[in-house]
Amino acid sequence: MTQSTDAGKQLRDFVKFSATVTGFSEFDLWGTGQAEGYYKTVLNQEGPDALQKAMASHPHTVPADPVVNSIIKLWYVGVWYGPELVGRVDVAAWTAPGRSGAKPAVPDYSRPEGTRSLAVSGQHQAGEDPAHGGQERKPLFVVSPDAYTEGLLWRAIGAHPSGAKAPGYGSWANPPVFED
Amino acid sequence: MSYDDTDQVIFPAGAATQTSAAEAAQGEWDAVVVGGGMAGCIIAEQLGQAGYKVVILEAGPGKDMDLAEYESYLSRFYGAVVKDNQSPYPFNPNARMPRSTDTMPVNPGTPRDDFYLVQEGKYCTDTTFTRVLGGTSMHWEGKALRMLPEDFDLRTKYGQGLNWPLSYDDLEPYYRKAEAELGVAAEVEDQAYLGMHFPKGYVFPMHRMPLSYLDQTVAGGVDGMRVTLADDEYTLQVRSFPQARNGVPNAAYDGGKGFVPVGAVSTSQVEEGERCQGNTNCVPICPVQAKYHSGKTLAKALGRGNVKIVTQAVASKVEIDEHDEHKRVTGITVKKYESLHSEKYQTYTVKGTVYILCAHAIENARLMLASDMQRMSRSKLIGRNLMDHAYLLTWGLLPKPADTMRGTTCTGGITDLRGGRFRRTQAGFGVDIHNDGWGWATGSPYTDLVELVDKRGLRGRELRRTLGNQISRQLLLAFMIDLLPDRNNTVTVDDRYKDALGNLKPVVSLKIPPYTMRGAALARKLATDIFDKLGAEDRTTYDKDSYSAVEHDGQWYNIVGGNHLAGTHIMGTDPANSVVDHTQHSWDHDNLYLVGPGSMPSIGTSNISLTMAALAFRSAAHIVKHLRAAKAPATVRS
Amino acid sequence: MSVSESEPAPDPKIKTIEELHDYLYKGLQLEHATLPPYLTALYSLHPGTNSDARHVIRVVAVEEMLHLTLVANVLNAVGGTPDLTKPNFVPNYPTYLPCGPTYFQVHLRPFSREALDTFLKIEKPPEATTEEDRFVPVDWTALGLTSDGMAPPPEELAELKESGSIFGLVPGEPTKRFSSIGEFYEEIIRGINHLEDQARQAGKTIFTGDRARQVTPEYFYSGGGDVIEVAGRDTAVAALNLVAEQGEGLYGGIYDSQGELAHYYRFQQLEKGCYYQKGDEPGKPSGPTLNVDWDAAYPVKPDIKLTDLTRDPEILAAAEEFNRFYATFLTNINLAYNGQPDLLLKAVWEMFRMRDSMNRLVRNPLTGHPGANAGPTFEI
Repeated sequence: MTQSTDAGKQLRDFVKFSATVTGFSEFDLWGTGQAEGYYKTVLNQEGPDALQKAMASHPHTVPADPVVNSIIKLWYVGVWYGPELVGRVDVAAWTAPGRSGAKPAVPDYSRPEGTRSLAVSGQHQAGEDPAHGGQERKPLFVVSPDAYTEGLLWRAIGAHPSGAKAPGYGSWANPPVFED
Repeated sequence: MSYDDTDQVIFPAGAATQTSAAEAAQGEWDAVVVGGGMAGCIIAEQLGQAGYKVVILEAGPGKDMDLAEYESYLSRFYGAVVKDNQSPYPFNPNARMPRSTDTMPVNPGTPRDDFYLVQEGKYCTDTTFTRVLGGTSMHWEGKALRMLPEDFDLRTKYGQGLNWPLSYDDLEPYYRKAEAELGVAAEVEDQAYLGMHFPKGYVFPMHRMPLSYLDQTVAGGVDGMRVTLADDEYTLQVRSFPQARNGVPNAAYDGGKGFVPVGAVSTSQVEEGERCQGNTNCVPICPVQAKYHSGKTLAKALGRGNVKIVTQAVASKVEIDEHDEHKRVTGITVKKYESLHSEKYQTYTVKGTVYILCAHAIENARLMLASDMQRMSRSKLIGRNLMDHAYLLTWGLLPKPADTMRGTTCTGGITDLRGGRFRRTQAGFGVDIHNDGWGWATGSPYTDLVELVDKRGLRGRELRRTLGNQISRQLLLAFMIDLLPDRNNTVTVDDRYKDALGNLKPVVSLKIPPYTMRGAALARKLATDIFDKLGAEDRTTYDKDSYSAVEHDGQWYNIVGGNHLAGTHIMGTDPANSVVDHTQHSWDHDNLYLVGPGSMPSIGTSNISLTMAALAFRSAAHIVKHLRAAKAPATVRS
Repeated sequence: MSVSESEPAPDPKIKTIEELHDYLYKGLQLEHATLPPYLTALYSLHPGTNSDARHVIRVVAVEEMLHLTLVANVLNAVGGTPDLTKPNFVPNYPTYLPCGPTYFQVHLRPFSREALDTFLKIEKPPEATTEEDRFVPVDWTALGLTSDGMAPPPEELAELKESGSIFGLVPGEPTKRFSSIGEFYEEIIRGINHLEDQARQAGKTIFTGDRARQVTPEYFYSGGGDVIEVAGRDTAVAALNLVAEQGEGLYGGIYDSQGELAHYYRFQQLEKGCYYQKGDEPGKPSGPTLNVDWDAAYPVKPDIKLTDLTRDPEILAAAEEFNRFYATFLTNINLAYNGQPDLLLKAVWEMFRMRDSMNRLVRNPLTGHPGANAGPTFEI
């Protein structure tokens, strides 16, 4: 890491906190290679105070701090669902691999500006990095292509992300194995 | 393995860009092929092999098929917010493709870039096809079923649909050719049902894909189940599907010569995709190219030197000499656009001895209608009899974890109700056991995550365990239901709807008839019975407000698209009842062939690809004869 | 490597079947020894980057598995018993490989120019020009093992020979080593020829192994070369030649006899930034260009050991778990080479699981080693 020790400590604290709320070890979280990217995503999207507040909140407070929910989902699927999208199962449905059919109000950055810009506008150009670049808040984006493949969800369900980390020919004939 | 065997997947570097549209327009080609998908590549490869000069005109983007390009598709899929079945492929305003996410009733005021398929009715299909080099073979699932013998004469046998002008036996040798080209993994012992037969001693190129643990779980309940329909009793069983993806080669193939699987295509020697790894992502893209896509055939074709390709060239008009008694085609006019980011284009007309339209059912019809060819059609059937499989999804939660989300997208299913006398009154169907859970229907597992985290407030280990337990129990049964040809299911064009290049967009009208819905009603009931048998909780719900809602007998269902578009230029026995003859030769234009699923007069209960490929091989042989005659010095023509 | 089917040397080093078995065991150890360095480099690559390098290293690593299998087939064919589970079968990195007059060290290292340089050396050692050049005196002092140039005491020497720390020693002759791995295999082929000639004179053969112990093509698919079932002298020599050719190419060309680009030239493509294509001369690739991002790799601490991880208990636990898993993997491969070839198919699943474990290790920063990440230690 190239940051100052202070920034390094903040990142380590973020990972430590994330381990508690995700149920995966700090080793597993570092092992995704996404720690820094996710930390910056939360900082850029919600700012340091909101992150501080989220990390200080008790994990089982009701109602939960929505930023905590965003952080958990970020680690699980690599998607930033802003706190305003809390509970939006309809939005989640359209971000999952395999879904097809008419789409409700979900922004789609693969389109030119001004077309079907439902929740937010702006085209996600190749090379533009929503996690790190610009000040613009975006309620919904995939942090990076490898954020998708590093999602913890797939390990939690004893599988692999659709389209990556294949388990090998014929392995699917065996019963599932869950890591603990 | 000789050097040349491994060489066939080398895509000649620069081949996709070295022939300019201007050069193509100056050349004299033996054959002009429109579309670089499965049908077009097979035709081009076969004609190239016979020594003819062929040019392929491809609407999609123009880079070579190399690993970098392929991996850019994969990376786009990983990074896409919306991961529908077109998400790996770049948005291209100049050669749009339908996306299921665009499905909605359109009116002339709808912004031009919001949609490609124009559907004005209340029911809208979310069906798609892909317009990149390789066509829909890039995103197809890879099931490679043959049609049943009875599918070829449905009218005679059951008084429904249309007969084909050829039989299963006529097509059988070409099915074998297609199985070789696509590299099909299956066992004859599994596939010899409902009259499907194979020559003595035939084996598929590769052994069957192992059934998933989920399939085995379902088989535990399904095998031996009985269904009575039209006084006949059917016994169900879970059976493995033939798949066009690399598995274990069968040493007995081709009289003991064996089979060498074709892996990933690139411009340099790469060693990938010789065997499926179980990425569970056949649709929208196989990460390792273990699944067949037509780039594998294209690489062979281009490697010969006499086959060329022009990309970013959208066929916009079929030019016809109306004064010619045979109404011959005189050229294909293409709009060659500069890039995906510019609407600038130049127009060229490419000329050849024969023309073969291989742009898939909707684009073939769209192109012909936009070229005013219906006026010259004796049957007036261009764009009519549009078909697609009607999919009914049902989903339940199994009592125990069952391996969901592992394996290829689908390894096994139930095929016993594909055929039988009940087809007099209701549609047959095949049943797919989906290894990828409820995703298609509900957006799981992401929806589960939001439920558990946001609504139930789960955290830490409890969240992790609950997700594992919940998702691994998902079972989705997809019923692929026959949809018969109907003149009123159509592709048309309308001057009010144009794309960025000014080409007319396809206007689609597809209704799901009661015959199909009777099949859907049985499917729904069968799913309930199967879930019962398995002790699964039925979680199926249908939304009557969705564009896919269809009412039948007071019940609402959602019928979603199968991406198996067919039937817009059906084949038949004479110019009055069909657009092409049994060789896919146009009745109305002497030097024109329409090759692809559009020629199929019915689609039965198998996805269309293998049959389309078999038909393409068969037609290629006829086109070679046609060219031989046309180019023979003795036959001087006026 | 200068492996050939030339006339038997006047004085083959291998004079008994037991000696042949020993040499082939050493071959197994050697072929395996390249795997951890390749895997470490491969999985150190950042995801989504260095596609060209990823594919090149992956294919070579898979073909090293093929070589391991080919040597096991030869050993089985001559009545031996492969054993990948012996203590010290896996070297304690860095290990030494012979390179003409000198040795070079093979480290566990992340993808880098240095790593690539080592890989090129592994795959194309210099050739010996004369019979005498095939052997070189061992410079024990240069290896840092003795100060007086004499061989270490017998017990230490025995352990060294067993351990795979230094490859290429001539069994039974502690003062000499082979000038290259190619010469080592050349000696095996000479030994096979010699012993088989002798056996035939007595109306026998050395190929007495059970055919059922051979790994046949249905059990090994690589996307690269094909496995050869060894049933006699010709197939044994073909298998050992393939091991050599896949490294450096056939008859000075860039391809092997199966039309596969040789490993040396695969790696050289990364150095040259250009792919080879059909018809190219060695050193002059003319195919499509390729890109290497030398910085897009996790900074795995070179030759990392468990002792480096004491301040990171979670990483330590994962590294130990990886090593146990790797040991199990070797055990299963070994069973596959001992009459259960179908276990090789399952070994592929284990390879994929190890890939995921290694990926997690290399992304974990180490406490107390600024700028360095963890990695698999391969201490079995």
